[in-house]
Amino acid sequence: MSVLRERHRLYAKLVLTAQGRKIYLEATAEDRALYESAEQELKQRENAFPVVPIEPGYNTNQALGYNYRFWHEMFNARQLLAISILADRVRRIEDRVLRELFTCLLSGALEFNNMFASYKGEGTGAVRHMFAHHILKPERVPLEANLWGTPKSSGSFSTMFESRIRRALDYADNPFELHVCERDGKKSVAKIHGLSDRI
Amino acid sequence: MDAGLTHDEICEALGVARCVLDDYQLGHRKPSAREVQILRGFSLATPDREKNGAANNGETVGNRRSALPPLPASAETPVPNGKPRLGSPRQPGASRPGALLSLPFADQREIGLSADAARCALEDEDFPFEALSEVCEALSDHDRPAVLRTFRAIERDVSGEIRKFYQTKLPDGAVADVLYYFWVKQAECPSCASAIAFTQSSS
Repeated sequence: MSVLRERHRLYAKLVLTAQGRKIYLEATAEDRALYESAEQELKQRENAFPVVPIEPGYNTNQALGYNYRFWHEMFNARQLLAISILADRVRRIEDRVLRELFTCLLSGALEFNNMFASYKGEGTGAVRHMFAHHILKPERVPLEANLWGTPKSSGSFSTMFESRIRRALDYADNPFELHVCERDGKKSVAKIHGLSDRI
Repeated sequence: MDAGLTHDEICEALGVARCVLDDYQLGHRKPSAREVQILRGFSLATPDREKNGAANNGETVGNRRSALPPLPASAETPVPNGKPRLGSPRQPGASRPGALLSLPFADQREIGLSADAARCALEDEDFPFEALSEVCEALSDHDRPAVLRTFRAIERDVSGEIRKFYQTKLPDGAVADVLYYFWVKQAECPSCASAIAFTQSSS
């Protein structure tokens, strides 16, 4: 039985202009060359990512069934390169608590930045992360997000810093409880501050 | 790696080949976070112990003090023949002393929030290390200006290096950031060698 050789083809991109407009464009030779340059840079990078076999298990057998043998195979070369750059920088944070905080943030960003992620469409977060369904199934049409991100990105390191870390700090400074109330005949939720001490 | 284990035993516990362990020792490759956690279990010392140079009394969580009682000696990780055992299932009905916290994303399991209890939890093969880290982080004191300063420093140091791989030239020549790249999986036809895209329309 012959082995089916799989690969991915880049076919389109969603671009953010300087005026803040989003435009869908066809992928160009220049885009493919940029990806190849990321591949080259990854090859030159020492110890860029851990090479860890996927162990058999209830869920991991699903990925193994699709011929994924190592965890890093769930990412493309540009994703591995960007994650490696970011991880190396996070490792250099001297303060342990801060280092672990940003490690958690990077770990969260990984869910959105792999080749098992897909496109939800514009609106409430464009990236459907890899755990959106409870099976480790590769996407036929995966989405590669911008890991650092832009103000209009979903699942990026910079936007998740705003939406998770800053929000958590805000909550710790001024904790609140949720109170269900009615507004214009509809149920809504109001934040009640002052019931808990600052964390 | 000084807990009296042979290299083969360490390899078996980590699930890596001997050459990978050699690479770790020579500094050619770094162990993953999971492997570091396992190696920490070998030394039977928590990061807090290493940092403070004293036995952890079960009162510290991250850098914040909590009201957790110390872990009794009876609850310590069993160490048969002086060697830590990894992957052995917890005894049914074994009680976990101290305050417990439910992790909704951790299979409804409960974990104690002392460093010693966390180390005991390493006994579980499928323990969610990431969830534990996130909970410990959530309960740590964070210096807001330091967090923001650190983020700005990361941004200054590496954002340009990453963003250059997500830029494109528009038809009018302007450079723009790419939000998302769209890929399609394709396979080579065993008969004609042409690439077949895995889209519904091509099936």
